Amino acid sequence: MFIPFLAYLENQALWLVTACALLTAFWLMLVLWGLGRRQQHRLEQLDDALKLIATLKLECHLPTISRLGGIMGLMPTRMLQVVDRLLQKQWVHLQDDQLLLTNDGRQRAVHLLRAHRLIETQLVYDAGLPLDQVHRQADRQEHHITEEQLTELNEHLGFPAFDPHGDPIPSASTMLEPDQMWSLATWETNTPAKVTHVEDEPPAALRKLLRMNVTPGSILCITHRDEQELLFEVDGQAHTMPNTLALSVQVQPALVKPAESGLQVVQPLTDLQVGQTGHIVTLSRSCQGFGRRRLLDLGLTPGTLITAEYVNFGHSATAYKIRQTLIALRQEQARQILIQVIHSIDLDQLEVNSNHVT
Amino acid sequence: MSKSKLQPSEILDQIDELRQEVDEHFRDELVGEIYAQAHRVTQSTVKVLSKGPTWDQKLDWLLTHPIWGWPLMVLIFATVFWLTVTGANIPSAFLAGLLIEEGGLSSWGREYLNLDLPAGLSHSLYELLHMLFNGLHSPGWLTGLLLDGVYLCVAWVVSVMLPPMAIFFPLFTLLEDLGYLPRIAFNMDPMFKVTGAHGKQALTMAMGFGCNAAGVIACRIIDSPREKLIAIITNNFMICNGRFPTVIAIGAVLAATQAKGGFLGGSVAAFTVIAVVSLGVLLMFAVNYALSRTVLRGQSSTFTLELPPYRKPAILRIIYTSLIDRTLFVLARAVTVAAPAGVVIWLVANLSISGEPVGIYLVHLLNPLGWLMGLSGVILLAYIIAIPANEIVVPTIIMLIVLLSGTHGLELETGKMVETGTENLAKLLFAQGWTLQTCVCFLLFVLLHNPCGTTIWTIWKETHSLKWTALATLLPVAMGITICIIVANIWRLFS
Repeated sequence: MFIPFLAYLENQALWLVTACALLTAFWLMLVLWGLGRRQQHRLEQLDDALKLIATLKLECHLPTISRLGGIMGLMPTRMLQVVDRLLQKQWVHLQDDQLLLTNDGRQRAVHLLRAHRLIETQLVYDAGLPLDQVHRQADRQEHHITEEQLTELNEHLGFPAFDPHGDPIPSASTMLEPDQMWSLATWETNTPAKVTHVEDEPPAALRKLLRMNVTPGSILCITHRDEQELLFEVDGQAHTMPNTLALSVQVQPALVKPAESGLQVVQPLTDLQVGQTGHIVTLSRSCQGFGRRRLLDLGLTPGTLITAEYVNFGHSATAYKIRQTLIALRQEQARQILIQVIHSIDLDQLEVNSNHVT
Repeated sequence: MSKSKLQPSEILDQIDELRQEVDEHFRDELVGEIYAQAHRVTQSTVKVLSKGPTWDQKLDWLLTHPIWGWPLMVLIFATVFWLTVTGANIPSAFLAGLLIEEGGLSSWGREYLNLDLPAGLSHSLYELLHMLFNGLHSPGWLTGLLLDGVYLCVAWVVSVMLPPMAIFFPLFTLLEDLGYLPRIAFNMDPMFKVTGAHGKQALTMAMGFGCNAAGVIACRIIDSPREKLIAIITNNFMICNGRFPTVIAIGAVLAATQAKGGFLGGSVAAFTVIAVVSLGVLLMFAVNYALSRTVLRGQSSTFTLELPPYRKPAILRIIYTSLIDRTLFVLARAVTVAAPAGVVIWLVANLSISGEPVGIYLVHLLNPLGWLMGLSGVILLAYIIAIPANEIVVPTIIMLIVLLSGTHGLELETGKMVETGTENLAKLLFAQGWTLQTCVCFLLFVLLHNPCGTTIWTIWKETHSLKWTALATLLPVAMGITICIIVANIWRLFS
């Protein structure tokens, strides 16, 4: 009884060995992959700690180890390990209980910040991702990009000065400096303000702001405020937002021409009925990057006359006549072009005058 | 000047500094000033005379009308297809006679010219080459590999592909030159907008009817990388010229076997083609929708579309660009990949292991999956061999059937690609156990399988990404296998 069993095993031995070898190889691959992931994660944690130290410094908080651990949500022992690695890499040095950036550390922090903002810029303007989805992806990618790749990316994007959130993109050699900004919650009424920064967290709040065209660069004007909410105008349309939401919007005084202040009566191009003519006042500040360049290159410059010619089936796009050319725009683009409708005025006269408007 | 002694790095630093100071309105003002200047020049030199609705406006009113626009568009495209399909028959038969068929051009002359051609034309190039090789005493395997393999495959691709392309592309370029194509994009935009794609995809899709590889190249007109990828991946759902003959052949087989002749019988073939094309368009929208909500999520990018004025077409230029830039370019690529495929086909049919050709083993291996999909091992093997060029699917199937089962009373040579008439084809297929269900599944698989080798290569060239090339290749074939399995088994359940 025993011998046939042995013979049977011998028959199957080759198969068994092969199967075991395959399984072991697979398991080894899994283990190696896991180790790699863990190593990766540790490196990313170092970067995150470095960024946090730089930000705390900018906001005039003291970057102590315990505060860092609290914000990053790490156990004290783990946080000490992270600080140890930072000291080893000579990115920081300790002064009393404060962590201060060394030159190398500052360079790395600037690199990370630059990478984050350039990646966000690329994702929004190049890949067309919505503003509320780019933060997480940039957080993942910023750790793996080299300085050369960054220079290349910067060139490709045409050396942008601001990221889509309105934050300045530092050049490779700049120092980190705080910028003067005010919260919209405390801004005066009837004073045009330029949005300079919009918090990307929580995402729901950001989405709400985006829907109202409140993005970095947009110019708004508070017309009324009470205890709970404030009434404001942006791109010629009135909206309200609760005071709590206004806390996540940072503004600066807007040094703008009256046409852009939102105080003049302007309408989005979508209001133009077929057959009507208007003249372009400006492009909304919320339209930036590639989209803005494209519209400008097509000749949608301030002062130009524009006539709605016809809409398509389903009303997704409208054909406009501009400078003797027909150009079709989707509703989304038309909404970003601000115009004034011209009612029964001699258009020939305006056509002659329009070159003085610009 | 002391400034000339600046180091390059210092200059870069200075640029960096200056750029921070540049007003963000700078670009707006620059472009505005350029346009204002252009406007002033125009004002002083150009006079606009007429004011009434122009010819262009009237035409636009008709062609982009919310109600008439779509039927007109369908009518125009149906006309283009009809011209391509019917018009390609004569030159296709001519090329087949010239290059492949036994008896050379004599049967073509009898059928289309109603006269007997001189005896000198009654040998095809294939036959002449055979005589030449025999005269040179070349060994059998060399003659087989070069003539029955490479030459036959290339000649088949040329005779099937060249005439439709030489008709379709000039017609397409004509529409383009007239200024009608942007109007199609304008008309169809809502469908693409709902499915998260770019309106200009309509143009690349139209191009895909001619050739998927050309359609993929055309995707360059879409600015946003996300929407460009969607357009590239879904281009394969458009039945290209290489697959049209297969659909038409099966449509003709269906007409010959299922309908009882007369007007209805004739329209079965046409209906088959229209049904397959419409299904392709529907699936394209479905995949657009799925992609733009999963792996290629994101916002729609800027949609700006210039609608140029209608122009009188420059016929000579159209013929030149469409023949040189498109037809010959695409044909050259197809021939490049068809030649090695010819070698493979010949080897599969003629290499033997213990007395049986390799093809037989492969067919038996693929039979279970083929049965599950409502097809057969023969069809699957033909598709694997025909990855480089879809045109050779039907001849490969015929070759494999003949190989497997002998000649079946038809005068066919074994181990070679052959062409037969519809009647013979229908007899041959149904003798192999084909049913209506096999035909339907086969049509579905013609629509839903991996893009041909040329297209895969082009996708790689355009995206430079293994990931997207793999997705574009495997997604349709996975869909095809799934849909065929579902259809075949539901069909079996109810019959």
